[in-house]
Amino acid sequence: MKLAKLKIFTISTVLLLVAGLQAEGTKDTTDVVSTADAGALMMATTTSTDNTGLLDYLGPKFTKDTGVTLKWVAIGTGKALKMGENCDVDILFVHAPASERKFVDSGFGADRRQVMYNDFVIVGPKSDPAKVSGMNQNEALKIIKEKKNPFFSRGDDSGTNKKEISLWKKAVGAVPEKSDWYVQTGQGMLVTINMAAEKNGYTMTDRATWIKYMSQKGDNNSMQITVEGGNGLFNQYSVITISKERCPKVKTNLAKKLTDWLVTEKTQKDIGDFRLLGQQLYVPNAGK
Amino acid sequence: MSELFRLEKIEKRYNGRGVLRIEDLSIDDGKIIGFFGSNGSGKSTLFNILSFVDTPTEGKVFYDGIESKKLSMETKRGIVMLPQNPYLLKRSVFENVAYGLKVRGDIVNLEERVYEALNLVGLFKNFAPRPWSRLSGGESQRVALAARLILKPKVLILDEPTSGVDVGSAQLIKEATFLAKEKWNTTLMISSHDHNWLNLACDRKITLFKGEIVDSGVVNLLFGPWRTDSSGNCEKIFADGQRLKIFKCKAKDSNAVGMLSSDKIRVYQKNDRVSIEKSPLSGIVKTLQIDKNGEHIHVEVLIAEVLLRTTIPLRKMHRYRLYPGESVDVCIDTKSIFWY
Amino acid sequence: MSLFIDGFSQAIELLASGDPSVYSAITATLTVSSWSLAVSLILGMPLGFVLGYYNFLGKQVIRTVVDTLLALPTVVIGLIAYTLFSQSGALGEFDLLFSLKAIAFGQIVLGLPIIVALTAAQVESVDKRLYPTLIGLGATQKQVLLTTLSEVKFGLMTAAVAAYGRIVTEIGISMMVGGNIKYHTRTITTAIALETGKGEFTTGIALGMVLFIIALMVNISLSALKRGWMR
Repeated sequence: MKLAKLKIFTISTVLLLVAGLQAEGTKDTTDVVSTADAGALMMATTTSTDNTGLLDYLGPKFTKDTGVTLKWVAIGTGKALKMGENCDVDILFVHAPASERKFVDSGFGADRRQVMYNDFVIVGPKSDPAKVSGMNQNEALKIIKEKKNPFFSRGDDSGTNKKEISLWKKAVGAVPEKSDWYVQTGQGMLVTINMAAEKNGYTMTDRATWIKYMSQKGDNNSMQITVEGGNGLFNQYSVITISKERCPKVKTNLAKKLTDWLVTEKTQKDIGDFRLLGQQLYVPNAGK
Repeated sequence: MSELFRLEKIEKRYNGRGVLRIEDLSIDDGKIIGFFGSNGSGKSTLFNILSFVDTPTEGKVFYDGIESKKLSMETKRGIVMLPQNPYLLKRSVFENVAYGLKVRGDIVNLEERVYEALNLVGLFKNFAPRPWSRLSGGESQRVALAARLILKPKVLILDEPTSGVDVGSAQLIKEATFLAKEKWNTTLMISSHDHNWLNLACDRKITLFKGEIVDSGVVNLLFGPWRTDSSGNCEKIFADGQRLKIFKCKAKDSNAVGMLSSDKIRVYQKNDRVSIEKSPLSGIVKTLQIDKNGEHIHVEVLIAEVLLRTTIPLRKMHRYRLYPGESVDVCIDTKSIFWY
Repeated sequence: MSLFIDGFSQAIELLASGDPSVYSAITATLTVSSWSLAVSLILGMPLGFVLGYYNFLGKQVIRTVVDTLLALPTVVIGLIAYTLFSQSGALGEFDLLFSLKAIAFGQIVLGLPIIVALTAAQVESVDKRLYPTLIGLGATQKQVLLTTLSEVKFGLMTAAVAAYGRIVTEIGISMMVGGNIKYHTRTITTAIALETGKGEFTTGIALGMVLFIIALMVNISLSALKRGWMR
């Protein structure tokens, strides 16, 4: 009977779905990749640590060492701080020191610790249409503005965006927000580099994401580093535990486990060993 | 003989427009009642009220002495209606016939009973798996009837059960209906344009016109146009030039409808001495039909394009030698016409 | 074009290799969307029936509201759900933020108006003879509801497919209240957004194809069901 077959099909589909949800119910504690069972830690982090694959690299190691499952939401630093204020996460892994200090001073966070750094670079087309290659960032940005060469900004209040804004302020006094050559993408770093490449523009990025970009493009890469190494291009990453006093539900003990684990010699070495295209992405600097 | 239904001061209005008004109506148990009336006469509305599908705007309905609001679901389920153009569920014939039993939770020997019900309307077991979409009009109607008969109802209300179906189906429907009456002593209420059938079968006839019961018999309708003259008389001119003159005519306009009970129409042999005095109309006998008790004959007479119905005693038919095709004199008691 | 072909071959590769992160996203998508649809249907069909079947005061107002809700963008639903489920929100104490349940809640808000509006339209369009027929056959009000819904099951199926299409493809809600957490709340759409964000366009396309295949399977099984009914 055709109808009987149909019924079997329908019933089995339903059973599959139910099984799926039950699996979901237990997934909070048992991970697909780990069998750890010491709770789950919720972290809000910047897009770059996720996009470069650093967290996919560190996450399982952390679970293996401590039994704690690490879950993270990758958003801009601005949004991450906001989520911290709302008590929606336990810990932050971000890179905007000025905002972070304000956050801690306002009583939202505690136990802020440096983990690693890299630096920001300004990248642009290999043809260098504004002829700014090798200059320091102040001169380069001034000329880009004068020549009205397209410049791509994240425009999303992320750590990178905050940094870029501070560079513009230092170089030309204000962010050229209303100029039509100044493009605010509102997207992640990699998308923004891609857009700059498509439109022959410049953009500022953290070095780790830049290396990731190069590894993806391979021979098709039309971009290069235009400005690097200048003072003030330093990019510090830190962890901040959300204040237990403001957010009673925060899993401070698990957050401490992660904080302590990140600054151990072994983890610091692992961070230093994380490479793409043979290049180091982050320099560990805990306790320094 | 017990009273089954009693309707008191029933009124039904839709959006303020009255569609049914019945002062008092009583229906006895175990009878066959025929309902006459044109489309829009209020038959279907009355049937909806009698089957408790609808409630009257005003008035009370008693069933078996109990007011309708106090009736149990069980009792109400004893009254089953086959609406005009019944709706079949988008399921197989089997599921359609079984539906009523299923909603009652009565599913013992379901298959057997479905096949039995189908047999009653001349359909067979192999018909059961057919989808609703592959039935002719007559088959749909028979399936719908089987879906009612399977419930062995106490009261079965049939609204135009044979309209729009083929002759064979109509016959099967009629037979099945009376089988139900024979088997379960079901009270039948039937409306139909098939007057012969109703005349032959019914214990009682009720005629509705514009939402009111006008007669417990057969009613003739006389349509205009009416030509009114200055002295208050009016007349209708038939297609063949004959004139029906009405003195002191109460027709409210030229499109008024006159209504005339069948006993106010008399037929006589052509040039009978009685009729000549009454300035008769000339008509032709179309049909003769004996009624249920065998003492009266229903006669249909055609005057030009208008068919009128009347009833005569059996012996009068013999005396006048009335046969179909015969020319007759038709006398109409114009004073007894009701105007609408 | 090569991007597309690469995406297609990578889609097959991804599925064949049994990549746990891909299967986790597929499972999350299927699970959460099926529950959202199921709840939308269970709540939406009776509500739609009431809205389409009965006449009551304020019916038009409710219809207008439901029709307007159809146009609600998913990010707005996501935002509202976030403000509800955030620890500082009204339902914060239930700890639902960043869970599949939170996504399901948002998706029900998304799917429910579709089911209600389309069910109401279907019930309104049902043959006027159905009601007297069912009552005349002795059906109770509840049986009338069930039979009426069964009579319009093809239309309801279309409604379900429309709602499922919107639910399974939405991203605003999943991103906002799910958080796109790997192995937990990452659905196919948020994974596509992430991969695109990382510049991994081929992976994005591969995941897009997986979503397309799911939609295809849903539609194939529904039309099989339809054929079964039509027989």
